[in-house]
Amino acid sequence: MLADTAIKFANMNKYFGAFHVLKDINLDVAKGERIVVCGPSGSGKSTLIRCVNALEKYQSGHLYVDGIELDETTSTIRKVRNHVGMCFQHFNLFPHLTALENCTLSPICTHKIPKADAEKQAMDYLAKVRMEGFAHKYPSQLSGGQQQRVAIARSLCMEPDIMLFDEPTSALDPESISEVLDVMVDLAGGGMTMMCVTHEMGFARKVADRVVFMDAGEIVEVNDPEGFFANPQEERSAKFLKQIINH
Amino acid sequence: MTWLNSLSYGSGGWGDELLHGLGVTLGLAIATFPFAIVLSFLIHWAKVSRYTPVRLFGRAYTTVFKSLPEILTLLILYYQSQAIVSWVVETVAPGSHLSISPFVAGMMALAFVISAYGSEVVRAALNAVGKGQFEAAASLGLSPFNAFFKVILPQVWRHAIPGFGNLWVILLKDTSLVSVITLFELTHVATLAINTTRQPFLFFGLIAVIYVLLVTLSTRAQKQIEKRVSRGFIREENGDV
Amino acid sequence: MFELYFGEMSRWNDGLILTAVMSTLSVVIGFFVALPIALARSKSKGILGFLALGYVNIFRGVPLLVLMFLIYYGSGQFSRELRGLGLWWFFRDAYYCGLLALVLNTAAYQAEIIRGSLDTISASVLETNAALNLTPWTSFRRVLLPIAFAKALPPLGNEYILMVKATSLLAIITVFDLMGQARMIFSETFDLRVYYIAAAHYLVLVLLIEWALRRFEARIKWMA
Ligand SMILES: Nc1ncnc2c1ncn2[C@@H]1O[C@H](COP(=O)(O)OP(=O)(O)OP(=O)(O)O)[C@@H](O)[C@H]1O
Ligand SMILES: [Mg+2]
Repeated sequence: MLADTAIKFANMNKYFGAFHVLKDINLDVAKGERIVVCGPSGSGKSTLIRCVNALEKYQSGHLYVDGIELDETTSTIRKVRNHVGMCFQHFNLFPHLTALENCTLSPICTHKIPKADAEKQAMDYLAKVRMEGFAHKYPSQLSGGQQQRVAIARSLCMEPDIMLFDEPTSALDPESISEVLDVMVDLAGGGMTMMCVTHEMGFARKVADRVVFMDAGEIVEVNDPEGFFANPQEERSAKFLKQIINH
Repeated sequence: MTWLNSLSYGSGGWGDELLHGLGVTLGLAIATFPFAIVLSFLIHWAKVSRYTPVRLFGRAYTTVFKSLPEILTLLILYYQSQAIVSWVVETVAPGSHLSISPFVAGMMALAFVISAYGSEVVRAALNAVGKGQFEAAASLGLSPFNAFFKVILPQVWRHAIPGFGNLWVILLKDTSLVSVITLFELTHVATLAINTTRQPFLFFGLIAVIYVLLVTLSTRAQKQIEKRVSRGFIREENGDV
Repeated sequence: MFELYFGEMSRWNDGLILTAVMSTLSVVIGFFVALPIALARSKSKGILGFLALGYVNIFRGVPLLVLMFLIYYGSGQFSRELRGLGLWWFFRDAYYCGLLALVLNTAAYQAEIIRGSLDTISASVLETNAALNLTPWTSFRRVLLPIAFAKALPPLGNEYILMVKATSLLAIITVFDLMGQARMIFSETFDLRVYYIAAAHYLVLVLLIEWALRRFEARIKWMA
């Protein structure tokens, strides 16, 4: 396995009971690479990236994250999760904690970082997502876009090598979408390995190294953004792009 | 005014005994409740355990304690634990004697019954907190222990308070059953008072009024607590679906 | 175990029947007592609503055992007056007194259940009825009541199960339901297994009722 591979799927299969959600997935993500995953609803995009931090188990094949093969042991899962941050569609901030406390909880509890240091680091990351002025607000006092930016800062506080995003902007209004995308573009510029499920084609064009198109649990096409948008290689991707653009 | 006499405080009346009975009633409920809440969580976890025998135990526990009349549960636990304790004592130290107090038997029976219902309150509250919170905690690398105590538990109370409040009221009223195994709580004291005063309506009426007051107070307190814990949750939080 | 059950079979059966009869009677009578209370709670802001609220709070607050004692033993304090009113035949009978207590108790709970289901019926249903030009009475009888009933059925079923368990308190005022028979047989034998046999009866009875309710609910699900 190559030293500069961040994530490697090898003949990976996943089932929900009898339902075959991910079919023979093969994909290598290089360190620092930015992947955008798209495809119709129910095609398995969320499931794919949730496997990377072991929120879902897989049944056959292999999945390596930062050179560690993911199995079902607690120690492996914890090791991998220390390398991987994740942002959810609905942010999932902890509603009983302020923005700052959301960011410092895991560094203090799992990395045993002293509270003062953890807060200092959290303020840096909150500044990075332009939320330093809201550190002492509760999630319910923030807009969706603000919450998502705090969620990004919260993940960054764990200093991950890889960031996963599952439709981070699809629950937001247009103004908030651009706030969040700006932060993600910054992050991409900093050399973070990113796997992002999104239908924001502008974002894909701007930052993606490769676009992965999924349909019915299969990876149908992997292409660079220029090629994918201008000249999709597969009939199914072409059809999908047409539907998105017609909207 | 004979009825005032019989309620007076001191050797001639039953005022002091009633007050003592009220103390036992409240003491039993207050001692049982935390125990029942912890059991509720344990039984809930048993019911969602990945080990089939544990899961079956959890389900059997709820089915049994929800199906049996509380009074029957109480009698069985009282006599059975007495039998077991006597047998153990007889084996370990022949000739000596140890008996189960009605208070302890009442505590056990009520905690089992309340936790059978409580495990459902816990399940609903955890559902209301949402899967997204577990996933966010997990993806931040929090251990299950920290995830539960730092993230989930503080949010569970808000959703569990109405359910647990109801159970508190049920518990409070069910303490009256323990009079049947001669615990000197309110109802039993009233029965004793009636044996000498021959004023059943007065004493049972008084007990009824006391219970209604206790329940009303509890409901008030519950509303107050609900208000307090929902501070900071002004807008409905989002949960990943 | 066997002789405790088969040897006393007729007493166990009598107890079982009495438990079934008393719980069913109390739930059914309680339902009709609860209806007007629920309506008052739901629709009336005035004195009726206040009285209904008082009823509910009082009878949900008093433990059933205390209520039974109050009615059965408490009435003894007024036996002369009750005789004068021609009501003594009722109050000197543990069965009637027990039933009355059960009814008063379950009516308070059922009233809240029915009120809850009435309150969830949306304003749009009422507007539709007005638009269809149904009279209020027709609208109530043909539309609101069936919907409310379908919505209230699961919690009412639950209440039925609670009443099956609650009838066991009748044993304390010397009624021979399942629990009463068990206490009787226990006092003759001092054999703890008697209570386990009673427990088995209740378990089977409750599981049977749950099963029947689930089937019935599945059948009328479309109404809710
Ligand atoms: N926990 C689960 N149990 C069973 N089936 C599931 C589960 N989670 C997802 N699925 C099914 O797996 C398939 C893929 O789901 P997934 O959420 O990965 O799709 P997606 O591509 O992210 O879709 P969307 O764009 O709607 O988010 C869907 O058909 C879904 O119904
Ligand atoms: Mg998805």
